[in-house]
Amino acid sequence: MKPTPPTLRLEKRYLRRLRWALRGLPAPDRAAIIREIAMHIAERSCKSPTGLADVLAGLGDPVELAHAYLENLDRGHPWLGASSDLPAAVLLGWATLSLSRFVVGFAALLLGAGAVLLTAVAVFKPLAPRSVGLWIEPDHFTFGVLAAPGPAGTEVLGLWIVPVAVSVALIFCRAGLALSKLASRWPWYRPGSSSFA
Amino acid sequence: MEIASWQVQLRKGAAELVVLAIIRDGDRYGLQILEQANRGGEIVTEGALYPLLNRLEKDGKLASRWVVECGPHPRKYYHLTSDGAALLAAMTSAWVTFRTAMTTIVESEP
Repeated sequence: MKPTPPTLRLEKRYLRRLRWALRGLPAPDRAAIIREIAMHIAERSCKSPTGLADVLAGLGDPVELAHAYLENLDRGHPWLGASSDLPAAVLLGWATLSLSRFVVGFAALLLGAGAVLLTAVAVFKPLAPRSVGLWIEPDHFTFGVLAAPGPAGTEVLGLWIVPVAVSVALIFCRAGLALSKLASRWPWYRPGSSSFA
Repeated sequence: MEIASWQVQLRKGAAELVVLAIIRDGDRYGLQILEQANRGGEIVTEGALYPLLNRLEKDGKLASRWVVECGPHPRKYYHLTSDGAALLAAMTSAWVTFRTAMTTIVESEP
């Protein structure tokens, strides 16, 4: 039976959610799981008189299925003792990794905020040239958008602040996106060992 | 405890032994294992089978290979490793002891 477009969409959405929910696993492991589940769906759909919806219901919610994969990787078999109980070092590794993720995520957030501020500087400079700029005085400097015009004669960039702010905002943006991608894809499980990347 | 919840726990404990025992008889792929396991009543669900296969493979109890057959879908066939065979033997022995003890207690005439 040839799958219809709505059927394909349903299947794709299921697999996309499963892939998303498995994002803690290394990419090759994730790809192998998706491939096997996709094959199961395809073959079972052909055999099932009630169609794809029942096949997907049989597999369960993709997030719960992913959870079952992750849970299975953490525990030993139920009868013969805890051959793979999580050692303290592994739990500590997870905690450290969670903290690392938090730090990386926070850095990405700061970069994003910096990019927004720089964009505001670039936008407001032509509108309020005396209130936006970089003022360097003997004992301190001020940068950004001020409520009142800054001290006359000490602003150093002039309209050059616009391309400078836009360029740095773009750099911040790209760095922030790279960091958030890194945090979301960080592999926490390495196959065949209990060590962490 | 509700009977349904108790049955879920019972199946969960049995699933690993059932899967290993089915694969002992020869190479099998997921859907084949599922159908064989549930022939006499539901023991393993699809949502439990694949994560279990994945774990057994990661633990080195099973090995797998993708096979492209004449059908439209390639299949991932599993077979027992020597570690898997040893685990199956140990589990079978534990199961026999458990079953004997349970039968003695649960099914004995008063």
